[in-house]
Amino acid sequence: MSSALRAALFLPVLIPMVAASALFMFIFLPNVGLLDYYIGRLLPVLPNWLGDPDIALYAIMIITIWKNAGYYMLFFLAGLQAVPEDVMEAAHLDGAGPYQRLRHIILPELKPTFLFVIVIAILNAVTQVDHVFVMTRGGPSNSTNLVLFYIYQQAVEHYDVGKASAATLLTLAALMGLTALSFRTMANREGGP
Amino acid sequence: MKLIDWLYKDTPLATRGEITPNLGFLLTVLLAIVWLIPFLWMVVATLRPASDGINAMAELMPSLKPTLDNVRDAREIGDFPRYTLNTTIICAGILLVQFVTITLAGFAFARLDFAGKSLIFYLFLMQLMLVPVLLIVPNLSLVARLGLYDTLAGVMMPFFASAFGTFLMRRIRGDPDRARGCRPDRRSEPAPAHPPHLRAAVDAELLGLRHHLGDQPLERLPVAADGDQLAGQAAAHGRALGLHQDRRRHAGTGHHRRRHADGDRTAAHHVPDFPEALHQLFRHLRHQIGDSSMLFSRRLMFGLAMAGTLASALAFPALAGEGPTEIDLFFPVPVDGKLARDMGTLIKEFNDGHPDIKATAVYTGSYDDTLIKTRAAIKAGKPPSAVIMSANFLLDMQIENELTNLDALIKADGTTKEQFLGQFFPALQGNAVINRSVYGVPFHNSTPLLYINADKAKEAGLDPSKPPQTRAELTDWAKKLTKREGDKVTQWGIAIPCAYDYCGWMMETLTMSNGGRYYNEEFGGEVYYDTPSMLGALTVERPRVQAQGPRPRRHAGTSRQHLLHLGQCRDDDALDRLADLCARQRQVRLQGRVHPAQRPQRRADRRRLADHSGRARGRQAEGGFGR
Repeated sequence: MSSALRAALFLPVLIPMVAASALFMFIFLPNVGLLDYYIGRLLPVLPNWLGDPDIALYAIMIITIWKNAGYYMLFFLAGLQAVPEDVMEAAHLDGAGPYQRLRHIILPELKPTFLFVIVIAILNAVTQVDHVFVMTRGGPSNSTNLVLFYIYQQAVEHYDVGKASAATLLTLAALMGLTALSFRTMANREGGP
Repeated sequence: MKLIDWLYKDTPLATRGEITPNLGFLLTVLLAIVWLIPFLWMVVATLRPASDGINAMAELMPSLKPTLDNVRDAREIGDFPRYTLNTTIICAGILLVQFVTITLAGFAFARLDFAGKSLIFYLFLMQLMLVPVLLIVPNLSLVARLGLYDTLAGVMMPFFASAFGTFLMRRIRGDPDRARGCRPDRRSEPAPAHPPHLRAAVDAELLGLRHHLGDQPLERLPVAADGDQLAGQAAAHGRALGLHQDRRRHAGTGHHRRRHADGDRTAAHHVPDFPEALHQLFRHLRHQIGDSSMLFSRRLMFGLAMAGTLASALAFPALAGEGPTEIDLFFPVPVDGKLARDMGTLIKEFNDGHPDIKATAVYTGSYDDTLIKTRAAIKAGKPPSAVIMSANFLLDMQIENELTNLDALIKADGTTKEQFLGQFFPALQGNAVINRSVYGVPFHNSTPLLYINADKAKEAGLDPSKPPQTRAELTDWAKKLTKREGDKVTQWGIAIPCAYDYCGWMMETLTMSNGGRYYNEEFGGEVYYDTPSMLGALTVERPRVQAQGPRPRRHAGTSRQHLLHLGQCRDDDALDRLADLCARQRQVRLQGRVHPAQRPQRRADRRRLADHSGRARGRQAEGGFGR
């Protein structure tokens, strides 16, 4: 049963981002899309998921979550399995409640996992652009524009290679910093106390 | 009860009385269901007949009359065997080449010491973070310059070296100590002894190698660092192996170097040189692969040969010497669906009528992709003979000297420019002419249509059979159709699409109907973004032209993606962009392309946009009515 659940959550990781975006285009379609068709009935005003500058970014976030959650789940799965059993057993014997076990044992044990996943998630968010490309092309009113898409726009749509290169370098510097951080967290995870 | 016991089989006994595991389980199940809904919908939608209509599109209940028509259509329209073959070729090709590159690079990083190792390592790291999307342009131009444009080898090439693969190999082949997870301070256990057969193999290999290298003196090997006597070749080689490992362990710490410097041998013996690196390589290959090495190298050679053959076969698909002149025709996506099939018919008709010419229609993606690919093909020295593309690109390409002036060809055909253009509607002729010369042939055009939602119009007390005729009427309609709840507009009165480059298109019509000009028809590149007629069109429209209300449901001939873009864009966007443009106006360089006769004229009030982005936007204007 739990493996079936895992498979369900992991399935989106297996399909390419472009395919997922195309799928979610239909889900977010105004009025006739999956979301409006069902959830829209409960709301008095139908939101224009990808067309409203206030909402579009959240719509983009939804697909990113749907797509990546299964991937991060794997790390947490490993992290949870690495929680020492004797400590948990001791907690049970001492009569620690669910909240106490979570707060004082599981979460501290998962700290490296959290750090790692946060870094990976940030890297993913910065380096994934397919969904923006397919779904909104940065619009409306640039509300879903991301660094990477901006670079693409400058380079390919406006032929401004200088600006695109400058933006790439800045992004790269930020990513380098992030990677250094991620290496440190990974080192902590592998060999640290 | 049994089910519950089964569900709980992994749960610690102590938690079974608590509510949280149950709650968590329930939430997980719900989450999994939500996660699966898109997939479920995909399956249902696949089996839904088109006759169910657009409103049932999102229905999660399977259709009552399921059909496999969609699957059949997908199979008919998409050439799946071809796609599969392409994918296989690309994967196999990349894998074969990567197999060589990443193992060697991984080995170098794991086992060799060389100047600038860490620098190169960080450069490799950077490649990991560079998203392929970012590299499209440089990769494309590189591949094009290598003459591999439009070949599978060209597609594979950027992936021949993989930073990720190298890291993988580096880890696998890494320091055995590190692979075992030892901390540096604990890495002092003796190196694992090599099995006798391996040692013999290495010895034989070294002897052979030495022979090839012109019989290097034994001292060249890092033996005898501590003054050991060489008791015999075989023994010496055995020691060389051990010593070498010992030495590597200290590599980077400077130990070995100091130790050697203290000895009475010259430093030259201890700095790794090329033959030694080769020795090392061989030793480690032996070490890793053992007895199957012959098989390995044969397979490797076979793989290399395969990759080479494949690459050359793919790179030069048309090496046929004699035969008809081969020409390419690029065409973009707005010519999709049925039109794409008609394109095939047209090409076939042409080829049948011209046996000495073989034309091939190449589908090149969107308008922008088509432009990019055309330019890449030009750079690669393989320009297509004809391209169907947005009329907007014409001027830019003419400025860049990428178009052929057709006047001479028309003359050679025995007709005149007027006769040639006379075959087309006057409205289309402007698309083909730049500076009074013919540079294109009008092929197909789009016309923006105003859709009216009759139901909403009736609701607002308007008569849909009498659509607005004047600006005032249009404004009036838009105002009446706009619904507000407080500050929030729940229904916009009019939508003007401006995704992609529609803004310029729409603004052009507004400006022209305002009695103004958008650009100089005689001299492309000169635009009038700050003229009163333009600003009037911009500002007068601004308060009322807000998008969204009676949304165009379907734009004839456009894909669903366009439909969505129509639906989602707001004219706000366009107006903001245009206002921004006006604010940034400045004198244009125009790269010395100003027509001499026009230079002195109206210089003061002539405003052109200097930078490329300005030109890109300005270009939107030149298409006239055409698109």
